[in-house]
Amino acid sequence: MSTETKDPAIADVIAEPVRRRDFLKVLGVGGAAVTAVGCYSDQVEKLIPYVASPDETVPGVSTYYASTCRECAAGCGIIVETRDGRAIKVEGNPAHPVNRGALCARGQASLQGLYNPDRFATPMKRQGDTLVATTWDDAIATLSAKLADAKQSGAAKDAVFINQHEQGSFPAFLDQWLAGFGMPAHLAYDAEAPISTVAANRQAFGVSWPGYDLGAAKIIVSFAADFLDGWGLPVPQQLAFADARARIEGAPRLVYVGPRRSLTGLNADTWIPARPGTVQQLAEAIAAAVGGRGAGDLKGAAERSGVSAEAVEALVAELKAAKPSLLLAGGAGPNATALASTINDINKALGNVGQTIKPAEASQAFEGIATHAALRDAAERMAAGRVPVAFVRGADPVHSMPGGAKFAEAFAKVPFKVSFSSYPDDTTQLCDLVLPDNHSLESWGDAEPVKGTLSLQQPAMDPVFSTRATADVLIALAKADPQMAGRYPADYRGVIAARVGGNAGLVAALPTAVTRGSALPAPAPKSAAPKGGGAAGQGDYFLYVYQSPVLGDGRGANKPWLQELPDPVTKIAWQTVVELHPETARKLSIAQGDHVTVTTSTGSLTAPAYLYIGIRPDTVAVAAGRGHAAYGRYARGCGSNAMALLGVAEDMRSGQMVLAGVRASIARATGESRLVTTEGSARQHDRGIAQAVTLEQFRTGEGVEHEHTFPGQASTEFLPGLRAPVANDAQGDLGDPKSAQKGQYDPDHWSGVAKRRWAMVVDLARCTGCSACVTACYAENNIPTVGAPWQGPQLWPNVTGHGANVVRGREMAWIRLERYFEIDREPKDVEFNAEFDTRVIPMMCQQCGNAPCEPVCPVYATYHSPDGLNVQVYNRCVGTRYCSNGCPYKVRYFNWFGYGEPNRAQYAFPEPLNWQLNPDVTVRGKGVMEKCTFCVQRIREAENRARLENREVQPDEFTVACAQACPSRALTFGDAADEQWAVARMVEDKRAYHVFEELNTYTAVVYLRKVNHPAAAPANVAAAEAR
Amino acid sequence: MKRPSRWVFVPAAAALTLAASIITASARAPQGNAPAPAQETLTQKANREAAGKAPRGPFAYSGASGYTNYLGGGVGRSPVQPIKFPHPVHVNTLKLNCVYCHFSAFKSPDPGLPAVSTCIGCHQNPTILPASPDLAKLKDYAAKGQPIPWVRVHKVPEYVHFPHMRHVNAGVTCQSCHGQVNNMPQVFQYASLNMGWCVSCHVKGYSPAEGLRSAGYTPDSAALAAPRKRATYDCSNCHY
Repeated sequence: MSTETKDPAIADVIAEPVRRRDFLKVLGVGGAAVTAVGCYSDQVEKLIPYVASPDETVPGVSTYYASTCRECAAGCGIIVETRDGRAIKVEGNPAHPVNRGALCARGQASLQGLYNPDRFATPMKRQGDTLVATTWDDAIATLSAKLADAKQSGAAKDAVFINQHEQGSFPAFLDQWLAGFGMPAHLAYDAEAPISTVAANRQAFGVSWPGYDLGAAKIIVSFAADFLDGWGLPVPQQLAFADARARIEGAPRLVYVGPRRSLTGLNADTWIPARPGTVQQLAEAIAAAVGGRGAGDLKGAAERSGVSAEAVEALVAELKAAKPSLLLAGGAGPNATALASTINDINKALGNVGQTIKPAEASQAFEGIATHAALRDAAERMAAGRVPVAFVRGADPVHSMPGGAKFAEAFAKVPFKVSFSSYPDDTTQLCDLVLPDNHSLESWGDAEPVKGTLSLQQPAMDPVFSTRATADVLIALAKADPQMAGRYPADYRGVIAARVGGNAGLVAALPTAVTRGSALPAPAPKSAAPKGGGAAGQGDYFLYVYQSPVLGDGRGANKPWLQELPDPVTKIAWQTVVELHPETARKLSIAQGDHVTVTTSTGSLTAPAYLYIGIRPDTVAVAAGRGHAAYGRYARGCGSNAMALLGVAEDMRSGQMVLAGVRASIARATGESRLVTTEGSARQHDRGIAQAVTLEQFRTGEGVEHEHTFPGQASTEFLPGLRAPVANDAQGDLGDPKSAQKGQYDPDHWSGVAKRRWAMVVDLARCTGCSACVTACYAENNIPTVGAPWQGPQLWPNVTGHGANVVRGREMAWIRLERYFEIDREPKDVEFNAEFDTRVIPMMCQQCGNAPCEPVCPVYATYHSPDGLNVQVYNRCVGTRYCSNGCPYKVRYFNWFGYGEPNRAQYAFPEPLNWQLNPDVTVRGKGVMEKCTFCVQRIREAENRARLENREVQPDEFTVACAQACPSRALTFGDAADEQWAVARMVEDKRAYHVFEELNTYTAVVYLRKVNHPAAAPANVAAAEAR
Repeated sequence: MKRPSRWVFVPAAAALTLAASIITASARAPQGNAPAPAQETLTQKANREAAGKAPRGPFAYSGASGYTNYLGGGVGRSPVQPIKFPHPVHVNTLKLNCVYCHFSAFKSPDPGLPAVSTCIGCHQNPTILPASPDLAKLKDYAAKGQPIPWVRVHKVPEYVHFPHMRHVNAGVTCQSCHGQVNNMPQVFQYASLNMGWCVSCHVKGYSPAEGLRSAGYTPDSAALAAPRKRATYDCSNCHY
């Protein structure tokens, strides 16, 4: 293309060097007059004051309520930030013993459950095939009459009440209520709960979940216990693991045994890919070898498991030498409880009990949980027509029970079905009466995560819809029964207050919501005789179904933040995929994205293939959690339900449903789909993005990869301590110390703005890749989700539906987790090999001191601020996208559609999701570039607060949203120019590096290399053993 | 040889619309210039002139420049409020401080609007203007438990974050930006609130003496001696 122009006016301008601002003037001739008029709108804005001003709120200033998270059983403490009566952010409670201020992605996304646009707005009643709205009076009267009937006729004794498994007083309260109406105790259901491990723990230690001290162990061996994925108590486990790994010297090695590398497996230093169904024998052989009970020779067991005997022998030697150790057993195979018992034996034989396993510090998270066999048994009674009335609250067994249990058909046979669910999920769709529950952020409750510590749950706001707390509904129903009326206080708040010494005690405890005390004791767990048959079926492959680390058993699927959050392992969003090893795929002539049908004796599922090198070639994996028939606009029709593949099969000793090890056949189906993935390449291509050293290299400093030599003079002038507030060449004249117009960029400027250099340190030895930071960023910065089917016009016929915008590379996550496999070939060409290293790295705007994006902006929408931020001024941006072209980190995101504009089809915040929007952050419109700003609103808020209190911002006084949430504590934010901030010390770490530092970008984000702990050479182990 | 592009007509049409709106606006605008009081402060003068001179309506909100009358400024815009609240009586006669009602101006980005209960706190007294129709409206809102839907007068665009408390605590008088609301029977927009107006003060600095004058006070010697108070003018101070 020629650069000449025939237009004399333009040619004149071009003859002079074009300055940034002049450039658009050239382009804009004739167009400018038109655009201005289009901006006007005739809205008249109202200012609506309070009727009566609440005492504790100040308009424009957040109020915080401490409460308890209910997204899983762990019982983490949360702080709910509310602004003018609306919850806008959920963060971990630093005063809480369980999660110490951190919070996972699912906990943060609870806000989208609260503001879900598909929640029931009123009670619903069945009329023919549909549910129609009714009043609370009518709904309660209907149910009350039914209950009285059932009680009188004696039918109540066969009723079934399925409640989500939860900690605290509610389960006991519910059972008392049920007993009052002559109904049997409820079933506390959680499809995700590690019931086998719980059963084995009860037998071995007398507690359901002992305290696991991951930090005290010298080696951790996980037998498919995905403690970084969601197994057990996710946040405290991750905190402990990251703290332990951050020690580097003396940090525990992690060995993972299982057929598929989960996120926990990817974090492991060694993977022993045991064949499904053989792990139990392998564990027994290890037990025998380390001196515990069990039998079998290591070599034979290793051979049957299809793993290298040397690796297993080395593991045994290491276990004998490195004490204490910690072995964890998870998984959901047919022998899961036997495996967990064997593992507990090994722990006892190695003397780990009391060292790394502390029954005295037991968690109560899984007390009172019903076995999955009990649920299946209830379904059988329903199918036989023996259940006259069924209740369901907070659980969706139609979606999360194995397809072979035929729960939907059985449930449909119950004459009267009542749901207390807030959402139109698959189970509630079948119900006759719906009394929608308040969200956990709208209701009272408690949890007792550790014996003697009570974690309170309080409403952070008034209900969004006309919903009522189920506990209050139960009280209202009891009041209608003369025999029960006297037993209950006016509402459930009274029940909670009674746990902490009345109203005064409650009010005193609420500021931290953590107090000494106890909940009502959990009822005895319900069980039924399990049915075996886990390994049954035909087929050449083992099926490995696992609960999604992001969506869980599917309860997260109606929250767009979680649908859009790529799975930490596969990097797939909005889609169900069939995971195959490339070797298997090659054998069957399947390419990535080809549709594959997985068939078991129970059912079949067709989904695109995803080639994953971290799975055994004889195993095929599918994540559960998607494939809803209902559950609102974001979940319905998105992906396929892996549970449909599973028949009735339970672990014979614990009654846990079998998810892994079922036989399946796979075949290429017609069609292909593009994968909804945010990943460009799973390889680093020698770019040194996510760097690592081995422990040996860390000690000696030798052999460290990616020692870049800098072109130019950067190596001499640039200091990792980021002391230069702004790189000289970034600001042109303003960067010149002799310039008279340095203004605010002058370190001696009266304002002192240029004295600060906001920076971040990311410790890759801590980061596990869990992606909680991503969701925290969505919540804080009003980032739109773009993957819903209606958010992209259907321009490409083959790329429509869920995630179409993501497929086109239009995702919006300001911070993303990149995941790289360290292998020398493209993943599709890889032979099976258990030894590969995985790197995860959070990637956000690096706030370059010498940013490639800044000089190319023709309108100064992006520029460098004196305090070291790479600022994006949305209202200046005209959407040329030159900055995005220039960014080597690919961290700038463009609003292709009006995601922030309510009148557009692509609107990402349908009412009332928009209630969550952070009022401190601009909602960006169409055609605007956006990116991470180091939470500049938090910086300004801290500065404002400091000025209000007539002081300077104190070191580490505040942090950014991603760092606040991080359950690994991998992110540290602060002022690198002030020695008192933690970040200023951390940038001096000898592991520090900048991504692409050879580009002279002078980034403000410093990464600390990951440290790998490879297995010691056998000789060293033997030597250690001899000592 | 080349057909004139139809886009040529767009600016022409826009210009016509603009002209038409100005003509209708000036036709509708009340021209009653209030007579100048004997002793007029600079601000009173500015207020009086602004109230009369600026073409009234039709005002609209623009994402680019806040409220505007299509001539690039919202100065003089004075919407009719649901209740005719007389600032002069409350401030000048009854000596209420601004922050009695705008209670968070010194501690929050948001200055705060009085709750209906704040109004009723005094106005439950039946001896205050028993016949006033506006007080009847107020009591009606209070009885129904409804908020009063005040029409917004001052607004900066949503991509601007304006922290009131930083300005109030720096000693900037309310009147510097809002004009002498205490003398406005119906509040009107006093300053343009556009970015040039903001930045000029941030760069030049705020003069305590001028601020006092604009509030109708005579600056004392300390104020006269005080230096101009400058502020930073980095984009990301307000735009994020």
